[in-house]
Parts: sequence; structure tokens; C-alpha cells
Amino acid sequence: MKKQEYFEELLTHLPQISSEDREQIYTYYDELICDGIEFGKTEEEMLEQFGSPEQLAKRLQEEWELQSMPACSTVSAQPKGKELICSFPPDLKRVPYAQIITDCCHVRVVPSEGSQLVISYPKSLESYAVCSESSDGIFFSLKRHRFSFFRFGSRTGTILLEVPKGFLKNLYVHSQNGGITMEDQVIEKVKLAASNGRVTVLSLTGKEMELCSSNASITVQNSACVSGSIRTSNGAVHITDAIAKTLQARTSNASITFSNVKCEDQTLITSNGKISVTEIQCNKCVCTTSNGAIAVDRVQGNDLTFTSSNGSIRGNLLGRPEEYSISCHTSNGSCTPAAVSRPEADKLLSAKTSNGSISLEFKP
Amino acid sequence: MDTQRKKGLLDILVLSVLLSGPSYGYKIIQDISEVMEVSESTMYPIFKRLESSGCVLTYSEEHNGRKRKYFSLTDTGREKIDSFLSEWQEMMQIYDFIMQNRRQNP
Repeated sequence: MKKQEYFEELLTHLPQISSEDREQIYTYYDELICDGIEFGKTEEEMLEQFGSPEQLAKRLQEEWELQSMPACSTVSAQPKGKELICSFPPDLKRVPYAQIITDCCHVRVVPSEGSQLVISYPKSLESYAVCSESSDGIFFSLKRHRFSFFRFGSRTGTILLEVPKGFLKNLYVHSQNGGITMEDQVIEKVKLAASNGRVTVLSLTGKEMELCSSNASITVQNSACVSGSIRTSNGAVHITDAIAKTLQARTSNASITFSNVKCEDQTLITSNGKISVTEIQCNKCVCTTSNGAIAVDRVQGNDLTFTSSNGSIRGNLLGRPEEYSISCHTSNGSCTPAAVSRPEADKLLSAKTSNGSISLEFKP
Repeated sequence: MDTQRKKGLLDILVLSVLLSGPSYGYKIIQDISEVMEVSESTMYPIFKRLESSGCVLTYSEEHNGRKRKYFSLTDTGREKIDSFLSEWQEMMQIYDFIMQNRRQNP
């Protein structure tokens, strides 16, 4: 059998692969045969080593399945000004998932009017970029690796991701030394992780939202989700105009601010930072800090817990004191309201600190 | 050797061959087959996976009137070798422990 026939038969045993993959497979084996001949073998000997086309197809399949990696094709970028762009048309065969990983760029996710998802990045970083797609989704990585510790904070460009409405169900962005901003998106599941960079989300509607950073702040505005998890350290957390079923915000050494948030169940935890909650409608709200004050303004809920160690707890709640069973305690400071146990009340207020005063009033 | 284990090692073997500089498919396979029996035909998915995971970069060069695809190691690839080595450091400790117990209880 000649090699042309061999490959034609091979490809009939691999019907599901893309035309790009077919070409790559041909190029790869053709190159092996040519090199084998140069090293003193014959074409027949080489083909014999590969086994029958059917056997080779089977082995290739097994290999792919074992690695649980679907045939993945590299996407080439087109130049446009000082940028390179990779574009993806909507495709039913591809899972609506995108993953962007970088260690040196800021990542911006913006809405797009067109029907294609477009990734643009600086031409100067061409050699570090890898863009591919498979039936699992779209994968883009731009990593420089070297000396990332010394380049702390000195990002070198921006990766722009333009997303048409409804294109993605799931997005994961990881930026090691740059920030991430996202505007106007409707995506079911979003995970944005920036280390040493800020995360900003403006107008996101989704089910699951996970935002992480370390050493930088996280800001969310005008967004709605079912569950939100926000984690950073050494950076502040600001949530404004948000609706959620559950929200968890955690930082250390920085403040947490929630303003105009409607949420069934929210937890705010910091240490060495202030917590401020303004205009909150909730079922349950838990605020915990150690060396910071808690400021409460126009908060209403059925189960409110404010805990600090060395800070004061001050402000006002919406409602009447009779509605609450109140448990307030401080060791070194004044305390209003006084603790009142009302077993018949369906609302709970707990405020506890050690070295600070407690002053909470009720507003009708 | 267990085929599953062998498959995990192949990636690292390919990467380690590239430590001394870029190389091409046929040559890489020949280098590897000095220590492990591999089939030339099934290396394709492995090269492809290393490429899409960013462990190697590829480029083509003219050779005897045809194109030859070269693979070069990236820093991700290098990191992968290092993490493999440190993982095996642990494995060796476990090996020593098992060996010691085996010797003490013949």
C-alpha cells in the first residue's frame, strides 16, 4: 500500500475529526515517513511500523480518550493594527465555555454587537500566546513566565475579550499580575481570578459568580446572581446595587462595603478592616471583623449578626425593636439597645464586641 | 511497565529531550526509544497535547525541499519537568520506606 492510499483509509476510520485535524495528521505522518526514509528506511517499512490504517485509527482514538482531550485545534491570529485577533463564530458543536489565562496582561471583558467572540492582544506578545478550540470550548493563554515575581504589578498589555450576548455560558479568567474588568455581560457561570490585580464587575447577570484576588480590591456594581463568592486578602471589597440569593465576601486587612444589596443570605468577613452595610434587605446577614468597626445604615432582615472584637458597632436598622429578640454585648463600652429576649419575636439581632461601644437605633 | 504509567511519563520524556534544544518528531521519538519502547505512530496526540497546553511551541523549517516541524520547550514545559522531578523525589522516599520495611521483614 502506498502512503496516499494508507492515509485515505486512515481518515475514513476517523470520521469525527475536523478537516484541520485531518490535515495535521497527514502532515505529521508524512513528515515521519520522509524522515524515516532519510534515516535509511523505506516507505513500506515505515507504514508497516504504523500497523494497518484501522489499527492506527483505533490507537489514536484510545489515546485521545485516555487523555480525555478532544481533538483540539490551534487557532491562528490575524493582525489588526498593533493587535492580533482570534475570532470565533457561534458553533453548536462547541461547549459555550471560554478560558483565558495570562500572567502579564490586564483582561477586559466587554459586550460585542457582532455575532463572533473576539480575543485581541498586543502583537508584541505574539510569541507567548496560544489560542485553541475544541468541542470543550475556547482556550487562550498568554504567559511570559520568567521573573514574574519581579514584574509584580508591571503588566505589559491588555487582552480584550468581546463577547456577544448569549455566546458564553461559562467563563473562566485567570490573570496573575494584572487586573480583570468585566462590563455588561449575561453569563451563567463566571470565575474571575486575579492575583495582584483588581477585579471589577459592572452589570453582570448570571447564576454563579466567583471573584478572587489577593493583594487587590474587588468591586461589583449593578449585578445580579444566584450565588456570589468574593475572596481577596489585603484588598477592599465593594458591592453596590446588587441582587443575589447568597453572597459571601471575605478579605483580611481591608474593608468590606455593601450598599443597596438585596440578598437572602449574606456573609461578610474581614479582619483588621471596617465593615459598612447600607440599604440592605435580607433574610440573614452576618458581619464579622476583628480590629475594625461595623457601620450599619438602613438594614432590615430576619437574622442579623454583627461581631467585632476591637471595634464599635453603630448605626440604624429599619423596623421596630419589639419585632426583635436582641442580644447585644460589649465588655468595655456603652451598649444600646440592651439585650432583650423575646421568644415570640421572629427576628433576631445579635451584636457583640469586646473593646468598643454598641449603638444601634431602630427607624420605622 | 503499566501502560497508564508509561503514558504519564511520555510527556515528560519528550519535554526532557527538548531541554537540549528544539527538535523534530522523528528525532525525538528516536531519542526517547533509547529508554522506553514507544510506537512512532501514537506520538501524534502527545505532541499535540503538549502544544495545546503551552508546554512546547512549534515552528516549521525548510529541510531538503520540504517542511519539517520543530518543537521547542517553553517555560511551562520546563516547570512541568521540575514539578515531575519534585514529585518523584517524594516517590523515592516512599520507595526507600517500602524497601526498608521489606528488608527488615524478609
